[in-house]
Amino acid sequence: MIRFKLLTIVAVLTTAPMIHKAQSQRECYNTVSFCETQKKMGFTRNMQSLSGAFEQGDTSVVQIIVYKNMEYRISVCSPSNPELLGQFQFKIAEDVTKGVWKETTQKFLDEDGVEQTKTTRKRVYEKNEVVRYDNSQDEMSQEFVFQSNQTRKLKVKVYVPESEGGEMSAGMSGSSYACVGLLIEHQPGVVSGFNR
Amino acid sequence: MIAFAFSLYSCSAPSEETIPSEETIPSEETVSTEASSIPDDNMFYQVPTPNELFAVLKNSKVSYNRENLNDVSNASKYETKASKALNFGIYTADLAYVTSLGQMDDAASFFETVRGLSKDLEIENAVDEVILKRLQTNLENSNPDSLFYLSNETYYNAYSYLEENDRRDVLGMIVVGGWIEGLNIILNLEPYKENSEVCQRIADQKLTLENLLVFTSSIQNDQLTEIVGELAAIEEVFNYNSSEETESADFTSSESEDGVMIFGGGSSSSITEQQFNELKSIVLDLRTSITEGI
Repeated sequence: MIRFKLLTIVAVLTTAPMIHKAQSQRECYNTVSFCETQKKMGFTRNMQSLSGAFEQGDTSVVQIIVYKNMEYRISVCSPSNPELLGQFQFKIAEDVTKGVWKETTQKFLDEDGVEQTKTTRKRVYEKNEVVRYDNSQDEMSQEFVFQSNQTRKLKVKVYVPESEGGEMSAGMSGSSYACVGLLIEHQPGVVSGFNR
Repeated sequence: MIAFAFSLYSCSAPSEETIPSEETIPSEETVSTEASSIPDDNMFYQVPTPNELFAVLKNSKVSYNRENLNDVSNASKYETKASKALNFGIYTADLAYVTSLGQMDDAASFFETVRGLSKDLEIENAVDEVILKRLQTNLENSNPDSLFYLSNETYYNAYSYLEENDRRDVLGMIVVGGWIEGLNIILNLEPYKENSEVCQRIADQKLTLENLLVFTSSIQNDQLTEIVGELAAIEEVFNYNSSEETESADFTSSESEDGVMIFGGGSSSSITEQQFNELKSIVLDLRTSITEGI
Protein backbone atom coordinates (compact mmCIF):
# COMPACT_ATOMS: atom_id res chain seq x y z
CA MET A 1 0.00 0.00 0.00
CA ILE A 2 2.81 2.34 0.97
CA ARG A 3 4.62 1.40 -2.21
CA PHE A 4 1.52 2.18 -4.27
CA LYS A 5 1.19 5.61 -2.66
CA LEU A 6 4.85 6.28 -3.25
CA LEU A 7 4.52 5.36 -6.91
CA THR A 8 1.48 7.60 -7.23
CA ILE A 9 3.36 10.53 -5.72
CA VAL A 10 6.32 9.94 -8.01
CA ALA A 11 4.00 9.73 -11.03
CA VAL A 12 2.26 12.97 -10.07
CA LEU A 13 5.56 14.75 -9.47
CA THR A 14 6.97 13.65 -12.81
CA THR A 15 3.90 14.32 -14.95
CA ALA A 16 2.77 17.56 -13.29
CA PRO A 17 5.40 19.75 -14.95
CA MET A 18 4.53 18.24 -18.34
CA ILE A 19 0.81 18.86 -17.85
CA HIS A 20 1.59 22.35 -16.61
CA LYS A 21 3.67 23.09 -19.67
CA ALA A 22 1.04 21.64 -21.98
CA GLN A 23 -1.61 23.84 -20.38
CA SER A 24 0.70 26.81 -20.66
CA GLN A 25 1.28 26.08 -24.33
CA ARG A 26 -2.46 26.12 -24.95
CA GLU A 27 -2.79 29.47 -23.17
CA CYS A 28 -0.06 30.92 -25.36
CA TYR A 29 -0.93 29.50 -28.76
CA ASN A 30 -1.63 32.79 -30.48
CA THR A 31 0.63 35.23 -28.65
CA VAL A 32 2.37 36.26 -31.83
CA SER A 33 -0.82 37.76 -33.21
CA PHE A 34 -0.55 40.39 -30.48
CA CYS A 35 2.99 41.41 -31.46
CA GLU A 36 3.28 44.72 -33.25
CA THR A 37 3.62 44.15 -36.97
CA GLN A 38 5.14 46.35 -39.64
CA LYS A 39 2.42 45.84 -42.21
CA LYS A 40 2.60 49.53 -43.10
CA MET A 41 6.23 49.03 -44.06
CA GLY A 42 5.13 46.30 -46.46
CA PHE A 43 5.88 43.28 -44.29
CA THR A 44 3.65 40.20 -44.32
CA ARG A 45 3.27 37.89 -41.35
CA ASN A 46 5.44 34.84 -41.88
CA MET A 47 4.13 31.45 -40.85
CA GLN A 48 7.48 30.50 -39.37
CA SER A 49 6.59 32.78 -36.47
CA LEU A 50 6.14 31.00 -33.18
CA SER A 51 4.04 31.44 -30.08
CA GLY A 52 4.64 29.49 -26.94
CA ALA A 53 5.02 29.13 -23.23
CA PHE A 54 8.65 29.88 -22.60
CA GLU A 55 10.10 29.09 -19.21
CA GLN A 56 11.85 32.01 -17.62
CA GLY A 57 15.59 31.62 -17.64
CA ASP A 58 15.35 29.19 -20.55
CA THR A 59 16.59 29.43 -24.10
CA SER A 60 14.51 28.17 -26.99
CA VAL A 61 15.73 27.65 -30.50
CA VAL A 62 13.60 28.13 -33.59
CA GLN A 63 15.06 26.86 -36.81
CA ILE A 64 13.81 28.75 -39.84
CA ILE A 65 14.49 28.92 -43.56
CA VAL A 66 15.11 32.33 -45.10
CA TYR A 67 14.93 32.76 -48.85
CA LYS A 68 17.40 34.63 -50.98
CA ASN A 69 16.25 38.13 -51.93
CA MET A 70 13.60 38.36 -49.24
CA GLU A 71 13.76 40.83 -46.42
CA TYR A 72 12.91 39.50 -42.97
CA ARG A 73 12.00 41.25 -39.76
CA ILE A 74 12.31 39.38 -36.49
CA SER A 75 10.86 40.70 -33.25
CA VAL A 76 9.99 39.32 -29.84
CA CYS A 77 7.03 40.26 -27.67
CA SER A 78 5.19 39.16 -24.57
CA PRO A 79 1.94 41.10 -24.18
CA SER A 80 1.13 39.21 -20.97
CA ASN A 81 4.45 40.17 -19.41
CA PRO A 82 5.23 43.72 -20.47
CA GLU A 83 8.02 43.97 -17.89
CA LEU A 84 10.04 41.59 -20.07
CA LEU A 85 9.96 43.88 -23.08
CA GLY A 86 13.43 45.13 -23.85
CA GLN A 87 14.98 42.28 -21.91
CA PHE A 88 14.65 39.42 -24.38
CA GLN A 89 18.00 38.38 -25.69
CA PHE A 90 18.03 36.80 -29.09
CA LYS A 91 20.69 35.61 -31.45
CA ILE A 92 20.58 34.51 -35.05
CA ALA A 93 23.06 31.74 -35.71
CA GLU A 94 23.97 29.41 -38.52
CA ASP A 95 25.60 26.01 -38.51
CA VAL A 96 28.67 25.86 -40.68
CA THR A 97 30.25 22.57 -41.59
CA LYS A 98 33.94 22.58 -42.39
CA GLY A 99 35.90 19.59 -43.57
CA VAL A 100 39.36 18.84 -42.23
CA TRP A 101 41.64 15.85 -42.75
CA LYS A 102 42.67 14.02 -39.62
CA GLU A 103 45.61 11.66 -39.84
CA THR A 104 46.49 8.71 -37.67
CA THR A 105 49.82 6.95 -38.02
CA GLN A 106 50.38 3.32 -37.07
CA LYS A 107 53.65 1.39 -36.93
CA PHE A 108 53.86 -2.21 -38.10
CA LEU A 109 56.48 -4.80 -39.09
CA ASP A 110 56.61 -5.85 -42.72
CA GLU A 111 57.38 -9.36 -44.03
CA ASP A 112 61.11 -8.81 -43.49
CA GLY A 113 60.57 -7.65 -39.92
CA VAL A 114 61.37 -4.04 -40.76
CA GLU A 115 59.31 -1.42 -39.01
CA GLN A 116 57.04 0.55 -41.32
CA THR A 117 54.49 3.25 -40.79
CA LYS A 118 51.07 3.52 -42.26
CA THR A 119 49.07 6.67 -42.16
CA THR A 120 45.35 6.70 -42.48
CA ARG A 121 43.60 9.89 -43.39
CA LYS A 122 40.05 10.47 -42.40
CA ARG A 123 37.89 13.33 -43.59
CA VAL A 124 36.16 14.78 -40.57
CA TYR A 125 33.43 17.37 -40.88
CA GLU A 126 33.21 19.70 -37.96
CA LYS A 127 30.02 21.57 -37.38
CA ASN A 128 30.44 24.96 -35.83
CA GLU A 129 27.97 27.64 -35.04
CA VAL A 130 28.45 31.11 -36.48
CA VAL A 131 26.52 33.86 -34.70
CA ARG A 132 25.13 36.22 -37.33
CA TYR A 133 23.42 38.64 -35.00
CA ASP A 134 23.27 39.14 -31.27
CA ASN A 135 20.93 41.79 -29.93
CA SER A 136 23.03 42.13 -26.78
CA GLN A 137 25.57 43.76 -29.11
CA ASP A 138 22.84 46.02 -30.46
CA GLU A 139 21.52 47.75 -27.33
CA MET A 140 19.10 44.86 -26.73
CA SER A 141 17.07 45.86 -29.74
CA GLN A 142 13.89 43.80 -29.78
CA GLU A 143 13.67 43.72 -33.56
CA PHE A 144 16.04 43.06 -36.41
CA VAL A 145 15.69 43.41 -40.17
CA PHE A 146 17.94 41.51 -42.54
CA GLN A 147 18.34 39.88 -45.94
CA SER A 148 20.38 36.96 -47.11
CA ASN A 149 22.38 36.54 -50.30
CA GLN A 150 21.46 32.85 -50.33
CA THR A 151 18.61 30.73 -49.11
CA ARG A 152 19.79 29.40 -45.79
CA LYS A 153 18.78 27.70 -42.59
CA LEU A 154 19.09 29.88 -39.51
CA LYS A 155 18.57 29.31 -35.83
CA VAL A 156 16.87 32.02 -33.81
CA LYS A 157 17.80 31.58 -30.17
CA VAL A 158 15.54 33.37 -27.74
CA TYR A 159 16.44 33.74 -24.10
CA VAL A 160 13.57 34.58 -21.77
CA PRO A 161 14.90 36.51 -18.78
CA GLU A 162 13.89 35.67 -15.25
CA SER A 163 11.52 38.29 -13.92
CA GLU A 164 12.19 39.89 -10.58
CA GLY A 165 10.41 38.18 -7.72
CA GLY A 166 10.83 34.74 -9.28
CA GLU A 167 7.38 34.49 -10.86
CA MET A 168 5.91 36.13 -13.88
CA SER A 169 3.80 39.04 -12.83
CA ALA A 170 0.88 38.54 -15.12
CA GLY A 171 -0.77 36.31 -17.64
CA MET A 172 0.04 32.93 -16.20
CA SER A 173 -0.43 33.21 -12.48
CA GLY A 174 1.68 31.07 -10.26
CA SER A 175 3.73 29.79 -13.13
CA SER A 176 7.28 30.16 -14.27
CA TYR A 177 6.22 30.44 -17.89
CA ALA A 178 5.66 33.53 -19.97
CA CYS A 179 3.69 33.69 -23.19
CA VAL A 180 6.19 34.81 -25.79
CA GLY A 181 5.73 35.51 -29.45
CA LEU A 182 8.58 35.33 -31.93
CA LEU A 183 7.20 37.30 -34.84
CA ILE A 184 8.77 36.80 -38.24
CA GLU A 185 7.69 38.96 -41.15
CA HIS A 186 8.84 39.07 -44.73
CA GLN A 187 8.66 41.15 -47.87
CA PRO A 188 10.44 41.04 -51.19
CA GLY A 189 13.88 42.57 -50.74
CA VAL A 190 15.20 45.50 -52.72
CA VAL A 191 17.22 44.03 -55.55
CA SER A 192 20.38 45.92 -56.38
CA GLY A 193 23.99 45.15 -57.16
CA PHE A 194 25.10 41.71 -58.27
CA ASN A 195 23.76 39.56 -55.49
CA ARG A 196 20.49 41.13 -54.49
CA MET B 1 18.78 18.20 -34.73
CA ILE B 2 19.07 17.49 -38.37
CA ALA B 3 22.30 15.75 -39.27
CA PHE B 4 24.03 16.95 -42.38
CA ALA B 5 26.16 14.59 -44.34
CA PHE B 6 28.62 16.45 -46.48
CA SER B 7 30.47 14.20 -48.82
CA LEU B 8 32.65 16.46 -50.90
CA TYR B 9 36.26 15.47 -50.84
CA SER B 10 38.82 18.23 -50.86
CA CYS B 11 42.12 17.97 -52.68
CA SER B 12 44.42 17.87 -49.74
CA ALA B 13 47.99 16.80 -50.52
CA PRO B 14 49.29 13.92 -48.43
CA SER B 15 52.50 14.54 -46.51
CA GLU B 16 55.46 13.30 -48.52
CA GLU B 17 57.38 10.72 -46.52
CA THR B 18 54.84 9.16 -44.22
CA ILE B 19 51.87 8.45 -46.43
CA PRO B 20 52.29 5.88 -49.15
CA SER B 21 49.45 6.75 -51.45
CA GLU B 22 48.32 3.18 -51.95
CA GLU B 23 47.91 2.73 -48.23
CA THR B 24 45.95 5.87 -47.63
CA ILE B 25 42.37 5.07 -46.83
CA PRO B 26 40.25 8.19 -46.94
CA SER B 27 37.05 7.90 -45.04
CA GLU B 28 34.77 10.42 -43.50
CA GLU B 29 32.63 11.22 -40.56
CA THR B 30 30.75 14.21 -39.29
CA VAL B 31 31.52 15.54 -35.88
CA SER B 32 29.41 18.13 -34.23
CA THR B 33 31.50 20.44 -32.16
CA GLU B 34 28.48 22.29 -30.95
CA ALA B 35 27.92 21.68 -27.27
CA SER B 36 24.17 22.08 -27.30
CA SER B 37 22.41 22.28 -23.99
CA ILE B 38 19.01 23.00 -25.48
CA PRO B 39 16.48 20.29 -24.59
CA ASP B 40 14.56 18.81 -27.52
CA ASP B 41 11.24 20.31 -26.45
CA ASN B 42 12.80 23.77 -26.69
CA MET B 43 13.75 23.18 -30.34
CA PHE B 44 11.27 24.15 -33.01
CA TYR B 45 11.54 23.47 -36.74
CA GLN B 46 9.54 25.77 -38.96
CA VAL B 47 8.53 25.30 -42.57
CA PRO B 48 7.99 28.20 -44.99
CA THR B 49 4.56 28.24 -46.58
CA PRO B 50 3.79 28.14 -50.31
CA ASN B 51 2.82 31.80 -49.95
CA GLU B 52 6.38 32.67 -49.01
CA LEU B 53 7.74 30.61 -51.89
CA PHE B 54 5.53 32.38 -54.41
CA ALA B 55 6.31 35.75 -52.83
CA VAL B 56 9.96 34.99 -53.65
CA LEU B 57 9.07 34.15 -57.25
CA LYS B 58 6.55 36.97 -57.64
CA ASN B 59 8.99 39.27 -59.40
CA SER B 60 10.65 36.58 -61.47
CA LYS B 61 8.13 36.79 -64.30
CA VAL B 62 7.12 33.15 -63.93
CA SER B 63 4.37 31.87 -66.14
CA TYR B 64 0.84 31.04 -65.12
CA ASN B 65 -0.37 27.62 -66.11
CA ARG B 66 -3.81 26.62 -64.89
CA GLU B 67 -3.16 23.01 -65.91
CA ASN B 68 -0.62 22.57 -63.12
CA LEU B 69 -3.25 23.17 -60.46
CA ASN B 70 -5.72 20.80 -58.89
CA ASP B 71 -9.08 21.16 -60.54
CA VAL B 72 -11.55 22.71 -58.12
CA SER B 73 -14.18 20.18 -59.20
CA ASN B 74 -12.09 17.45 -57.54
CA ALA B 75 -12.86 18.85 -54.09
CA SER B 76 -16.20 17.07 -53.89
CA LYS B 77 -14.65 13.61 -54.18
CA TYR B 78 -12.46 13.81 -51.08
CA GLU B 79 -14.18 11.78 -48.39
CA THR B 80 -11.70 11.00 -45.64
CA LYS B 81 -10.25 13.49 -43.19
CA ALA B 82 -6.73 12.76 -44.45
CA SER B 83 -7.73 13.26 -48.06
CA LYS B 84 -9.50 16.52 -47.26
CA ALA B 85 -6.59 17.83 -45.19
CA LEU B 86 -3.91 16.96 -47.75
CA ASN B 87 -5.95 18.57 -50.51
CA PHE B 88 -6.71 21.58 -48.35
CA GLY B 89 -2.93 22.04 -48.30
CA ILE B 90 -2.78 21.55 -52.07
CA TYR B 91 -5.53 24.08 -52.75
CA THR B 92 -4.00 26.68 -50.42
CA ALA B 93 -0.74 26.34 -52.37
CA ASP B 94 -2.70 26.72 -55.62
CA LEU B 95 -4.42 29.76 -54.16
CA ALA B 96 -1.05 31.28 -53.24
CA TYR B 97 0.22 30.72 -56.79
CA VAL B 98 -2.94 32.07 -58.39
CA THR B 99 -3.07 35.21 -56.24
CA SER B 100 0.70 35.84 -56.44
CA LEU B 101 0.29 36.19 -60.20
CA GLY B 102 -2.88 38.25 -59.93
CA GLN B 103 -5.13 35.73 -61.66
CA MET B 104 -8.39 37.27 -60.55
CA ASP B 105 -10.63 34.94 -62.52
CA ASP B 106 -9.34 31.83 -60.80
CA ALA B 107 -8.80 33.37 -57.37
CA ALA B 108 -12.48 33.40 -56.45
CA SER B 109 -13.00 29.72 -57.26
CA PHE B 110 -9.94 28.64 -55.27
CA PHE B 111 -10.98 30.75 -52.29
CA GLU B 112 -14.41 29.12 -52.47
CA THR B 113 -12.86 25.63 -52.66
CA VAL B 114 -10.59 26.28 -49.69
CA ARG B 115 -13.56 27.63 -47.78
CA GLY B 116 -15.60 24.50 -48.53
CA LEU B 117 -12.85 22.14 -47.39
CA SER B 118 -12.22 24.20 -44.27
CA LYS B 119 -15.86 23.74 -43.33
CA ASP B 120 -15.59 19.99 -43.91
CA LEU B 121 -12.50 19.89 -41.71
CA GLU B 122 -14.20 22.06 -39.09
CA ILE B 123 -11.58 24.78 -39.39
CA GLU B 124 -14.18 27.36 -38.74
CA ASN B 125 -12.36 30.61 -39.20
CA ALA B 126 -10.02 29.89 -42.13
CA VAL B 127 -12.12 31.89 -44.54
CA ASP B 128 -14.34 33.87 -42.21
CA GLU B 129 -16.90 36.57 -43.01
CA VAL B 130 -14.28 39.31 -42.72
CA ILE B 131 -12.01 37.67 -45.28
CA LEU B 132 -14.99 36.95 -47.56
CA LYS B 133 -16.04 40.58 -47.49
CA ARG B 134 -12.50 41.79 -48.17
CA LEU B 135 -12.19 39.19 -50.89
CA GLN B 136 -15.31 40.46 -52.61
CA THR B 137 -14.14 44.06 -52.41
CA ASN B 138 -10.70 43.25 -53.77
CA LEU B 139 -12.10 41.14 -56.58
CA GLU B 140 -14.39 44.00 -57.57
CA ASN B 141 -11.51 46.46 -57.43
CA SER B 142 -9.07 44.10 -59.16
CA ASN B 143 -6.51 44.36 -56.37
CA PRO B 144 -4.16 41.37 -56.77
CA ASP B 145 -1.75 42.36 -53.98
CA SER B 146 -4.55 42.34 -51.45
CA LEU B 147 -5.77 38.99 -52.70
CA PHE B 148 -2.30 37.54 -52.20
CA TYR B 149 -2.31 38.99 -48.69
CA LEU B 150 -5.72 37.43 -48.02
CA SER B 151 -4.52 34.02 -49.18
CA ASN B 152 -1.73 34.28 -46.59
CA GLU B 153 -4.27 35.24 -43.92
CA THR B 154 -6.42 32.24 -44.86
CA TYR B 155 -3.49 29.90 -44.30
CA TYR B 156 -2.58 31.70 -41.09
CA ASN B 157 -6.12 31.43 -39.73
CA ALA B 158 -6.31 27.71 -40.47
CA TYR B 159 -2.88 27.06 -38.98
CA SER B 160 -3.65 29.01 -35.80
CA TYR B 161 -7.03 27.38 -35.36
CA LEU B 162 -5.58 23.88 -35.65
CA GLU B 163 -2.75 24.71 -33.26
CA GLU B 164 -5.17 26.17 -30.74
CA ASN B 165 -7.35 23.10 -30.87
CA ASP B 166 -4.44 20.69 -30.71
CA ARG B 167 -5.24 19.12 -34.08
CA ARG B 168 -1.69 18.63 -35.19
CA ASP B 169 -2.55 15.61 -37.34
CA VAL B 170 -4.66 17.76 -39.65
CA LEU B 171 -2.11 20.56 -39.45
CA GLY B 172 0.69 18.20 -40.47
CA MET B 173 -1.26 16.94 -43.47
CA ILE B 174 -2.06 20.47 -44.61
CA VAL B 175 1.59 21.49 -44.38
CA VAL B 176 2.71 18.35 -46.27
CA GLY B 177 0.04 18.81 -48.97
CA GLY B 178 0.99 22.46 -49.41
CA TRP B 179 4.69 21.63 -49.60
CA ILE B 180 4.18 18.95 -52.27
CA GLU B 181 1.95 21.20 -54.39
CA GLY B 182 4.33 24.16 -54.08
CA LEU B 183 7.19 21.98 -55.31
CA ASN B 184 5.06 20.48 -58.08
CA ILE B 185 4.09 23.93 -59.34
CA ILE B 186 7.63 25.28 -59.49
CA LEU B 187 8.88 22.07 -61.14
CA ASN B 188 6.42 22.74 -63.94
CA LEU B 189 6.97 26.46 -64.39
CA GLU B 190 9.63 26.16 -67.06
CA PRO B 191 12.06 23.64 -68.59
CA TYR B 192 15.31 22.95 -66.77
CA LYS B 193 17.82 25.76 -67.04
CA GLU B 194 20.98 25.52 -64.98
CA ASN B 195 21.13 28.07 -62.14
CA SER B 196 17.93 29.79 -63.20
CA GLU B 197 15.94 31.54 -60.47
CA VAL B 198 13.31 28.80 -60.56
CA CYS B 199 15.87 25.97 -60.41
CA GLN B 200 17.55 27.61 -57.41
CA ARG B 201 14.21 27.81 -55.62
CA ILE B 202 13.60 24.14 -56.44
CA ALA B 203 17.01 23.30 -54.96
CA ASP B 204 16.13 25.36 -51.87
CA GLN B 205 13.36 22.90 -51.13
CA LYS B 206 16.00 20.49 -49.86
CA LEU B 207 16.27 22.73 -46.81
CA THR B 208 12.53 23.13 -46.36
CA LEU B 209 12.10 19.37 -46.71
CA GLU B 210 14.60 18.76 -43.91
CA ASN B 211 12.59 20.98 -41.58
CA LEU B 212 9.31 19.48 -42.78
CA LEU B 213 10.52 15.99 -41.90
CA VAL B 214 11.48 17.01 -38.37
CA PHE B 215 8.29 19.03 -37.95
CA THR B 216 6.07 16.09 -38.89
CA SER B 217 8.10 13.51 -36.97
CA SER B 218 6.62 14.80 -33.70
CA ILE B 219 3.05 14.15 -34.87
CA GLN B 220 1.61 10.72 -34.16
CA ASN B 221 -0.71 9.77 -36.99
CA ASP B 222 -0.48 6.68 -39.16
CA GLN B 223 -1.79 8.31 -42.33
CA LEU B 224 0.57 11.24 -41.94
CA THR B 225 3.48 8.88 -41.29
CA GLU B 226 2.59 7.02 -44.47
CA ILE B 227 2.55 10.09 -46.69
CA VAL B 228 5.71 11.50 -45.06
CA GLY B 229 7.38 8.16 -45.81
CA GLU B 230 6.76 8.87 -49.50
CA LEU B 231 8.93 11.96 -49.18
CA ALA B 232 12.01 9.78 -48.67
CA ALA B 233 12.36 9.34 -52.42
CA ILE B 234 12.37 13.10 -52.89
CA GLU B 235 14.98 13.57 -50.17
CA GLU B 236 17.13 10.94 -51.83
CA VAL B 237 17.13 12.84 -55.13
CA PHE B 238 17.99 16.11 -53.39
CA ASN B 239 20.91 14.35 -51.74
CA TYR B 240 22.51 13.24 -55.03
CA ASN B 241 24.78 16.24 -54.89
CA SER B 242 25.33 16.96 -51.25
CA SER B 243 25.95 20.54 -50.35
CA GLU B 244 29.33 22.00 -51.00
CA GLU B 245 31.63 22.41 -48.10
CA THR B 246 31.50 25.91 -46.72
CA GLU B 247 34.26 27.57 -44.81
CA SER B 248 33.31 29.65 -41.80
CA ALA B 249 35.58 32.45 -43.00
CA ASP B 250 33.26 32.90 -45.96
CA PHE B 251 30.39 33.82 -43.73
CA THR B 252 30.43 37.58 -43.67
CA SER B 253 27.74 40.20 -43.30
CA SER B 254 27.45 43.58 -44.92
CA GLU B 255 25.05 46.47 -44.80
CA SER B 256 23.00 47.64 -47.75
CA GLU B 257 22.67 51.30 -48.74
CA ASP B 258 19.38 51.49 -46.88
CA GLY B 259 20.94 50.08 -43.71
CA VAL B 260 19.65 46.52 -43.94
CA MET B 261 22.06 43.81 -42.81
CA ILE B 262 22.79 41.27 -45.56
CA PHE B 263 24.03 37.85 -44.52
CA GLY B 264 26.63 36.68 -47.03
CA GLY B 265 28.68 33.59 -47.62
CA GLY B 266 27.78 30.02 -48.30
CA SER B 267 27.10 28.42 -51.63
CA SER B 268 24.04 28.87 -53.78
CA SER B 269 21.63 26.00 -54.21
CA SER B 270 21.59 24.10 -57.46
CA ILE B 271 20.24 20.95 -59.01
CA THR B 272 21.25 18.99 -62.06
CA GLU B 273 18.99 18.24 -64.99
CA GLN B 274 18.83 14.62 -63.87
CA GLN B 275 17.64 15.67 -60.42
CA PHE B 276 15.14 18.06 -61.98
CA ASN B 277 13.63 15.34 -64.15
CA GLU B 278 13.54 12.75 -61.38
CA LEU B 279 11.99 15.19 -58.94
CA LYS B 280 9.39 16.17 -61.51
CA SER B 281 8.37 12.56 -62.00
CA ILE B 282 8.35 11.54 -58.31
CA VAL B 283 6.54 14.65 -57.13
CA LEU B 284 3.91 14.39 -59.84
CA ASP B 285 3.19 10.76 -58.95
CA LEU B 286 2.87 11.58 -55.28
CA ARG B 287 0.78 14.66 -55.93
CA THR B 288 -1.51 12.74 -58.29
CA SER B 289 -2.10 10.08 -55.66
CA ILE B 290 -3.28 12.83 -53.32
CA THR B 291 -5.44 14.78 -55.76
CA GLU B 292 -7.11 11.60 -56.95
CA GLY B 293 -8.04 10.90 -53.38
CA ILE B 294 -6.23 7.56 -53.21
